[in-house]
Amino acid sequence: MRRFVSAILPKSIAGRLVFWFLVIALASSGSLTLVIDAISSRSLIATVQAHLLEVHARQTSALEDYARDERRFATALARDPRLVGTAERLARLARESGPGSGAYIREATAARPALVLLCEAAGFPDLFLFDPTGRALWHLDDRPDPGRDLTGGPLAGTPLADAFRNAATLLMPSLSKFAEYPGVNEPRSYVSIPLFGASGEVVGIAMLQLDDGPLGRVLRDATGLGSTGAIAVGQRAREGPSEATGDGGAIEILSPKPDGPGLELRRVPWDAAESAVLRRAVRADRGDGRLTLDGGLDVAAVWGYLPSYQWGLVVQQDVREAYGLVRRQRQAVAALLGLAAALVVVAALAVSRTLSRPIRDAASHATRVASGDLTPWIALEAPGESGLLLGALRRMTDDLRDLIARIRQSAIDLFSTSTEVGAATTEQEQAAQQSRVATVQASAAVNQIAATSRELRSTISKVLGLAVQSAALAEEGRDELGGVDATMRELVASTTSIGARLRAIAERSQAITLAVTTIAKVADQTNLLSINAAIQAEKAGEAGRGFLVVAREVRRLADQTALSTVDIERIVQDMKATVLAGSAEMDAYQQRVDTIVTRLAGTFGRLTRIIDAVGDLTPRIEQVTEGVSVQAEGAGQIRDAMMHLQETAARSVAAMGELQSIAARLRETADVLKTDVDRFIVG
Amino acid sequence: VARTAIICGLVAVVAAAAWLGLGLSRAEPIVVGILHSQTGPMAASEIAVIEATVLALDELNRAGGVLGRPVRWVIADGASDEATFAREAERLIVGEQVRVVFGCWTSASRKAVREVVERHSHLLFYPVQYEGCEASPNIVYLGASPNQQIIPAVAWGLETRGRRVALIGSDYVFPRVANAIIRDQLRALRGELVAEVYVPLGASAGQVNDAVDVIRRARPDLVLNTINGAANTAFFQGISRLAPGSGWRPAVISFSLAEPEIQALDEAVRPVGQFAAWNYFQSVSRTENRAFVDAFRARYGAERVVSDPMEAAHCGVQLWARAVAEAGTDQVGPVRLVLRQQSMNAPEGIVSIDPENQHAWKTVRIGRVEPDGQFAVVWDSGGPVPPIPFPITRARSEWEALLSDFYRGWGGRWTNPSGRVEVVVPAGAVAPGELPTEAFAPEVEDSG
Repeated sequence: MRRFVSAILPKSIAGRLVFWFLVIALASSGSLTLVIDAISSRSLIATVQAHLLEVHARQTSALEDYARDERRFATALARDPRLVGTAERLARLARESGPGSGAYIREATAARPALVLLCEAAGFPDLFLFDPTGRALWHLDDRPDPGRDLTGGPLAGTPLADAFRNAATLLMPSLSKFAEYPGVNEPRSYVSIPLFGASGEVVGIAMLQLDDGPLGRVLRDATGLGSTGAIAVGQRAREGPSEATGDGGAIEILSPKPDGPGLELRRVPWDAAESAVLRRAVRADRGDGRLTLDGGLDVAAVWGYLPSYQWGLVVQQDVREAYGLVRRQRQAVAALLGLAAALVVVAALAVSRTLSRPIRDAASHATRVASGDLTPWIALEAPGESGLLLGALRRMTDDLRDLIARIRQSAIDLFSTSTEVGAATTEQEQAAQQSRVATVQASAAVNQIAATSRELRSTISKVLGLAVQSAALAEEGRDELGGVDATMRELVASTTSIGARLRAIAERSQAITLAVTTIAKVADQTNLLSINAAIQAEKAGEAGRGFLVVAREVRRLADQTALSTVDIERIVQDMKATVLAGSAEMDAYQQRVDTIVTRLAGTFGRLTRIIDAVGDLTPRIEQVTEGVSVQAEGAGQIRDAMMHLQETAARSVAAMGELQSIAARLRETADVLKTDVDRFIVG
Repeated sequence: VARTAIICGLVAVVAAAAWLGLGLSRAEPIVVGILHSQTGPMAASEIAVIEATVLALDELNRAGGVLGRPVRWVIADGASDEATFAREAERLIVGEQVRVVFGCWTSASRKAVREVVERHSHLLFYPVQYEGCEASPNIVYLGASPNQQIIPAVAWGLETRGRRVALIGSDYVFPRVANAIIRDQLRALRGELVAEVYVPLGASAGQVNDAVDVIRRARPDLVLNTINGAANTAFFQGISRLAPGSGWRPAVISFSLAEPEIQALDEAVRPVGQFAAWNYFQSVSRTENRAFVDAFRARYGAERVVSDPMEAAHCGVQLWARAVAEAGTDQVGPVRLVLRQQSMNAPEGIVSIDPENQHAWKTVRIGRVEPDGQFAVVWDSGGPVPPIPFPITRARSEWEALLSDFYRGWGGRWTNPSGRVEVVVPAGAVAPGELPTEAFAPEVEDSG
């Protein structure tokens, strides 16, 4: 892009000025012109369209208002007693005596003056009356004739019949589509209304002919559309495809009669060139715009739909007339733009001459300065910015000359300073090196201290372990002794109980001895009794013989008892002696056990004291360990600090090296500067 | 360096000129509000309308926005509650500074929001058919007025099915007013009203059966159904039970039963062969409609169906965008003025905004329910029908008095709070299972 621009750009100032003047002038005024043209053309076209729309709206509302007013007039007549009464009476007479009867004709004639007045006042040229079934009752022009019945004959299926149906069944005023009817060679439209009787029943239908005079006036009124403007209305022909099934059929164009009031109807095919815009309008498409008709005619048009008549309404004007102003505006703008371009070229050439001379002088001086020649210079006198430029150039050369001289001196100063800096830096570097060595040594010593502390700490930890172990052992011993002591106490208790039992046995044997003594006494008594008995028996003689035997036997038993008693007494005495001996031995045993228990309690107390002593020892050892740990940590921190110091020293040595090299470079630079400055000729 | 600077400077100048010339100012989005029930009993119907609205807004943005600005939408939840609707409308208009509100389904919610939009001179697009008797300059009514749905359907029914007519509806403002209109029409066309009965909103199956009993005893040729919501299931069950062997099968024309409601009905009670009146059916065979249905299904799923209010909501967004483009501003005032001249070729046919009452001109259709849940069109009006929000059988002031009578009679609401089945015709009849109560009669019937 840049290459392309530089390729087409002229090289001289004059050329460039002309080029850029043209670019600036054409770019700004050209774009301005384009924008203004677009806006004003659009607004002009919009104005033209708005005007057409306005005309269209004016015509639309004129036509629709007319239809609405006519429907309203008709509605107002729906309960008119003249119409209702006539329809009721004629329907009754037709039913009773026939439509051709004298009574019927008399009634029809009698009604005429009032109904003529009514139609004239309401502005309807013609009036039909039908009964609710569609049979003709009365006609303004003529006597009823059967051909006018809507139930059959030529009128069945016409828009008139449609309007009749709307009024008769839908009970609303209805405007029929314009159509031509037999015997009438102009299109007509009727407003139909139902006639309501006293109790709200439909007694007849009135069909009022629409006066098409006002419609013709509206369609002829092309005010504001110039010489090529046109207003057209059209409707779909009744036969052919209905609007439900699609396009096609024919379009009926209605236009004002050239030679009088009213309308005439002309039928054209659906796709005729003439109906191109009307086609859109009758399909209820509404819009505006510029259209090229089939005949090659360009028109600006507005189209829309009129529901009351089922008409399409088109307002159009030839584009050449409608947009004439836009074309003239464009021509004027183009001419003005060309004139402006020519003026710009002349002005650019004139300006370039006054600019190029001082600039050339300035350029030659600048070339001298560039080659190093700063000797004073006599400048041309020039007006305006060029003069300012030359003056500034001269001042600049003078200032530059002074500056170069000062820089030269500074370079020399700089060179010597940098040499000094180099030397000082070298000294400092050596000092830093030494401090680094010292730091390394100190750091080694601290390391050693730290190691020793760590060893000491581990030794103390071991001692602590041993102490805890022996405390645990003593604890175990004490627990075991506790067990022995309990056993011993149980033993004392059982011994005491055995002694008690033995003493009880001794007491019982005493009781046995008492019992045996009693038995012995009884045996003695018995023996005495038996002897007495034997004596008595002997005295008795023969009679007491038997008894003597018994007495002898009793004495033998008493003797035996006495012998056994002696044996028992001896055995009891033996046993008693034995028990007493056992009891004494038991007492001796108990005393020995008591002694052992006492001794055990002493041992237990001593062990407990040992355990307490070992327990007291542990926290003290832990304190010592902690102290040693703190010491080891301190040593570690000192070591870290030393390392840090060492690093710092190393870095400062490096920095010194760098500083030295910078000083060297500074020196070199000062050297170069000096050489460069020497190039200038200061005069 | 100097040359580079000059070139940079030139480039900057040209860029600035281009920026000024092309007017590449930052495109601030236009904010619009969507106000429908996302919760509560109306959510099922209204969420589908939200989807159709969002589809239309998204299509706008994909086509480059409006006035070169993207459209950003804020969705507010009316929660099927009048007070919430009014509060959320206030928030959208004052807090979110929206330029237009698309929303409401029930007449109750519309009447609540109407006060808010009128107070702020704002703009609401209302997409649902309704009872008429209203024309606010701040509301664009895209649904049918009575003469674009109810009246043609009644006329068609009288002509093709017979003159004995029974009316059944949910007990709130739309069915009550719709039936008042139908009574006028029956008088005009010499039909015979043999039964008129109302079930509460959210009625039980038992209550609906009681109402069907009243109708059965009256033996009508034609039943006009304005029941809303789930009670339709019980109603069609009751009607289908009447049919076999009795030799009498009335035609039913429904006014609040569209494709999604039929899809939601149990297949067994699907009212095949019965009728509904709308301006739009999914089955309408038009190029514009196929494009709409395809776009909706591409976005929300091939099994989805679309309905009249959804189509109207979609159409509303497009009409608003056209008005903004034509007005050259998103300001509410100018847009409202330009809206009155808008027409468009919608999926249902040509739709135009009436400059006088801001209702839409619409084509009327009567459809027969087919076994697949779609409608076959059996009658259409042949072209757009002008909207007449106040039927000409009574004066506008009479309609307004009727509405305010209902409102006052129901204690300052648009729904009858009684919770009972109300039998208006035959007079004096009482639904089985209902204690005789003092029937509320807001309207003095003509002696004829």
